[in-house]
Amino acid sequence: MINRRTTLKLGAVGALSGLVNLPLQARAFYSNKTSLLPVQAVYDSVYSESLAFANTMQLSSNSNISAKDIQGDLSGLWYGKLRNQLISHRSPIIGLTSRLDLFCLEELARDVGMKVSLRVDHLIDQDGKVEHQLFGSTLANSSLENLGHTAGFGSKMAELSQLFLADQSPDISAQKLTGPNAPLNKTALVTWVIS
Amino acid sequence: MALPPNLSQAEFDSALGEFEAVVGTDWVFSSDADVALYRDSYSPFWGEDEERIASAAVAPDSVEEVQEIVRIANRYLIPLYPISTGRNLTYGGAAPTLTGSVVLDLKRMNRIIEVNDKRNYALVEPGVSYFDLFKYIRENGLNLMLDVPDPGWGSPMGNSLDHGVGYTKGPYRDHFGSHIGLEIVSAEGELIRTGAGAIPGSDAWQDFHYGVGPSIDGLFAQSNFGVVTKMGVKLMPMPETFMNCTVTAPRYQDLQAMIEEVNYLEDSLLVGMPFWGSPVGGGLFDASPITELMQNGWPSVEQLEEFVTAQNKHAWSVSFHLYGPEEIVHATWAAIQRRFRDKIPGVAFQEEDLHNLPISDEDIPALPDKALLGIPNLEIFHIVARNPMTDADQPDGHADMFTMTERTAEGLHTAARTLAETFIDLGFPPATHPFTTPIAFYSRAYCVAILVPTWRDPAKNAASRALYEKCLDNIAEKGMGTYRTAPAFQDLAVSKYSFNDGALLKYQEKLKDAIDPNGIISPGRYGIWPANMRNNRG
Repeated sequence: MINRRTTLKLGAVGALSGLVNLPLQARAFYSNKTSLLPVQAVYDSVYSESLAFANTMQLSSNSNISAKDIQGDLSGLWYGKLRNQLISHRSPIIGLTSRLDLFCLEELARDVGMKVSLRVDHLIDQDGKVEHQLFGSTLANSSLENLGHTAGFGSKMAELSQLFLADQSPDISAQKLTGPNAPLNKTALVTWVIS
Repeated sequence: MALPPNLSQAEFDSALGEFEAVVGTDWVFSSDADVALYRDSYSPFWGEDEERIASAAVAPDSVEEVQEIVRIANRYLIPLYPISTGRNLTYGGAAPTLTGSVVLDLKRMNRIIEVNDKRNYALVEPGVSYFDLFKYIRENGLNLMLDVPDPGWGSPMGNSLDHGVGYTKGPYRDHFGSHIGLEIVSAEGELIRTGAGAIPGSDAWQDFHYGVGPSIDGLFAQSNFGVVTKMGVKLMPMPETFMNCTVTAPRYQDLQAMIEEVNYLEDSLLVGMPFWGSPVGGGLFDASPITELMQNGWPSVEQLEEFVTAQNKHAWSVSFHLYGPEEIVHATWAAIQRRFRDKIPGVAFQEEDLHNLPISDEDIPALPDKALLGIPNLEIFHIVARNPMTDADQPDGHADMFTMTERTAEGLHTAARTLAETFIDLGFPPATHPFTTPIAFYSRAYCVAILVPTWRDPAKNAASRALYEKCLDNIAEKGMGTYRTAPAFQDLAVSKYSFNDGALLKYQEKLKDAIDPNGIISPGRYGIWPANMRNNRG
């Protein structure tokens, strides 16, 4: 059995093979394989548009969706199940969340070698008017033309999810676009793909 | 894409090939999209030529792989920049100090080698996060409490090696101070263990810190003398109970007496981290109600006492977090009240409920201050978003500066006034004021905090940088400095520690030249440049 004393002795003499069999404490890093397993959809039920996004995703004819609610605790979601699922099988995540939660997820996703490949920023002013802006995709640009500037975009983003997930262009313009904060007097939500 | 200094693309490609032969092709990252992951999200040089950008990243899985990568880097003279989780955002994050460096991403080295709740320590690799260690302790029913930073997504090793801090009792919230035993890969690829770990077969590596002879552990914090691959962490036994209690004092001039009493309690190890506040002044992230009072310059003591009286509130508060058996917690609180009552007329007291520990998983979400109980979380992002410095415009990040002062009212007020006047002189609303309170991250020093905004806008960043640099200049004139800073400001911050014509830095440079003759480990980190790059300084 590999124990602490054995581990430390092996480290000192440079024998690599003994470390492979560390019990429990060692976690296999991710398999670096993309997967056809369910797409993870992340939402935050605090926001009605995000909830609508999740509901539409789950009601869609594509049953390959696993929707997860942040419930105000992104760390619980990431360190609870999501990270380990991605370590085992790296598959795209799509979500509609606050800008702050995307900011944190983007930093965390580097742990599993994943990055923001697409984002649509939705800035909602105090009158409810919404401005949308797409980054990281050319395929999806025309799809936003009929999005409008009022509530109801959450479900429309879900309807466009397959288009978003299919766009695997190497454009890095969506990466680290903003910090975590919303502009003054606005709510900043984001639809995003991390792949 | 950036290249390492003085290396052609062909030479770099050759080096990348050698890295791949060690770690596998999956673990060398050189595409634009992959390298972009290592940008500093809070960089005060975002998008400008001076932004520090990596050339590539390589992620080893073992000490042996680290050693081989270091040897390859020496052959090609490629600077390496080791990171653990790389999420120390206000201090550079995952971005290197020198553009063109290869990030040595230690995330795959994520083994929790041991956690011992009889001798109260953990031994971890660089990629273990606070969340990982917390989960391990809970899942295995170990009787231990962590001390965590805010946010908690970093690693015990990374946080400690940058002199990071937490929130519980003094010996534990100085994270480097509570490390015990290091394993290091030197700049030439040699493996070293410190303390009792240097005795082959020792079981006391995480019990006995010093070994015999000079201890070299300090060389590996905030520095570039090697790659740390294992670290022991002293942990606090899980207390039986926890209670928060608060003392308030009525007058502006009561502060010094309060500080002296708090120093007694802290230095006697009777209390956890003291949390200072001012009922009339607001907190770090609250809008200051005394802006009008400051319109004609720094108020006099008489004006401040009048202000306090007019507010009909106490001037100062300090909260204590008491940990331990219930009878000791109650007795300690009784003693605290007696001591304050004897020294300061008019003090008031408030206590909150006693909690049995550990907190159950079901009760954790409702806890207002999870970090006080060693529970890692990301809630600080919601708090900092309300920074009043940025009420008019929301920044993309912030560069923190903590002015270190002695534990006196005079030191605190000098720091607060110097910073406030600097802000005003440069056209910014003051971030400090006469009721600014210290943060006691270090048990025997005070920090006065400012969060200078950073942006995706070069013009705004230029103004922020000028403010930060002027603050460093002005506090240095008062004999004060900062304890940690982003790479953009490290040369300047270090230059203020200039006693005897910069003797300290010169000594560190001599060590650097001897230990890392090719200058490949994090050149420039905390102002320590190798001989062949000293013209990079500044």
